[in-house]
Amino acid sequence: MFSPRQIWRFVRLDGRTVRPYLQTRTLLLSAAMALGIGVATREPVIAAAMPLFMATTYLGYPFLAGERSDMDALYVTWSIPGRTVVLGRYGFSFGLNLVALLVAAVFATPIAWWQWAVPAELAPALLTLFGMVIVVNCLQLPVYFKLGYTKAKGLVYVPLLAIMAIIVLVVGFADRLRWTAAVAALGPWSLAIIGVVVVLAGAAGSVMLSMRFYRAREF
Amino acid sequence: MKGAAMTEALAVVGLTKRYPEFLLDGVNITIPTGYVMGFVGPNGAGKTTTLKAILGIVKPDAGVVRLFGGPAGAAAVNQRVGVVMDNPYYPEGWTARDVGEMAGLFYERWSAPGFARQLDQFGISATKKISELSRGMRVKLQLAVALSHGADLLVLDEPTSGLDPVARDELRNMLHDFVADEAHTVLFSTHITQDLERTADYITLLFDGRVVFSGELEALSNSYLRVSGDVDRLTPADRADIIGYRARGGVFEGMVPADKAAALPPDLLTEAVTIDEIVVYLSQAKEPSHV
Repeated sequence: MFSPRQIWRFVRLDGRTVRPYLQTRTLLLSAAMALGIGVATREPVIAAAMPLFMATTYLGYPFLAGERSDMDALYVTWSIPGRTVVLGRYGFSFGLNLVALLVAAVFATPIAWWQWAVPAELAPALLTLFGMVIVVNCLQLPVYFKLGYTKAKGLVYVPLLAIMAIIVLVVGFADRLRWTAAVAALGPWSLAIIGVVVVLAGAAGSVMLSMRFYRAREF
Repeated sequence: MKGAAMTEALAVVGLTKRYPEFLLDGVNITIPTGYVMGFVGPNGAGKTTTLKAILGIVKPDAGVVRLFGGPAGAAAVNQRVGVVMDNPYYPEGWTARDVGEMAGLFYERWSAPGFARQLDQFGISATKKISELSRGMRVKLQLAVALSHGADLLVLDEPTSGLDPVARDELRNMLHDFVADEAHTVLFSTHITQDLERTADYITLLFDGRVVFSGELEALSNSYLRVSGDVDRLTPADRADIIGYRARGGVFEGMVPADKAAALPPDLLTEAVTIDEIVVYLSQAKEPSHV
């Protein structure tokens, strides 16, 4: 049975599992690096991208801790259904991204005020980044559920690199690609709706795949 | 033995699990409610795989596991099962308090004051990390969790291995206390058979993935006799009945099923065997026979 309360509890469990890995020194160092690069490049989007993409690295930690301590077996003994584990892990990943989005906004806003004539443009940029990170996570999570942390850790960065490569190609060759003009002509609201639909459909497919993979695994 | 109306806390029927280099072959175990069953076998015999199948962690290829009448691994069933594994499934970075807070989120009958009391009784500091706890303390922490969520069945995997004699005695006493009310049941895997002689009512012997005995402890002790004497007193047929046969300097020793002892020459020495000796003799036999 789908129980939002159980899923929320699992999100808390994941948070507690990851907590020993979140050291203040590492977090401060990462924050300083993100801010430093943002200030040096004078580009708020870069300052915002750093925490969001850093969050994708933390996504692997529940799988890492789980593998080290056989926590998937613990979930069974604690009567946590596999479906709750999968949905809870997606919930945890979404929560992680929300926190990262908040940090990204805090980092990028002063740089945007400083550098951009129209700082309001930061919001769509942040939401686009947020959507991209969710898509990356939706590609990564089924791989973790299928293979476990050790076997998946190399593979999960492939989607991240692929998305970065696509961005570079699209930005670099935008004037030579016919469809980019057609996409631009759709207008921001149509683009936003298409983006949300793509992200939601991708997330639903990803959850179903993860459930199937997790059900097939033994611990 | 306890009350007459016996219900089964656990029934394992024909449990089979194939791995590339190991076969758990049609395991059958039954434990009536209110008893302690020792689950004995050498390392690699398949004890942990069997326990994991009972808990629903491993999916069997064939066979059925039922706990309190429900299927293994079902959430409602596992709510009633306390688990003490060789090494706990808790992250090393967690403290005992973390374990309690997180377990409390998922166990319906969780008692936070009960858990605090258990920690206090076992002398476990709530702020100590799992990585800082000794093996004995880790076992006690898992027991504290099991006792705080009102478990009716305790499943313990090698809880005494690596413990000093005092800690082993403490654990045995805890198990005695646990089953005292006759509603609680214990399945206790070990390769230290001395622990069972004082604790278990029933025993299951597992060798190479097969159950060679499952029944009352007393029945097992009465099932075999140690036999020794001159090698030349044995006929080939007598020798075939001797389990774990060893000969040195013209004298042999081994173990025979009790029902076959009468057929041996009367001048051979026959004596009672301990559980430990039964396990050793059976493990020396190439093909342990079912009793």
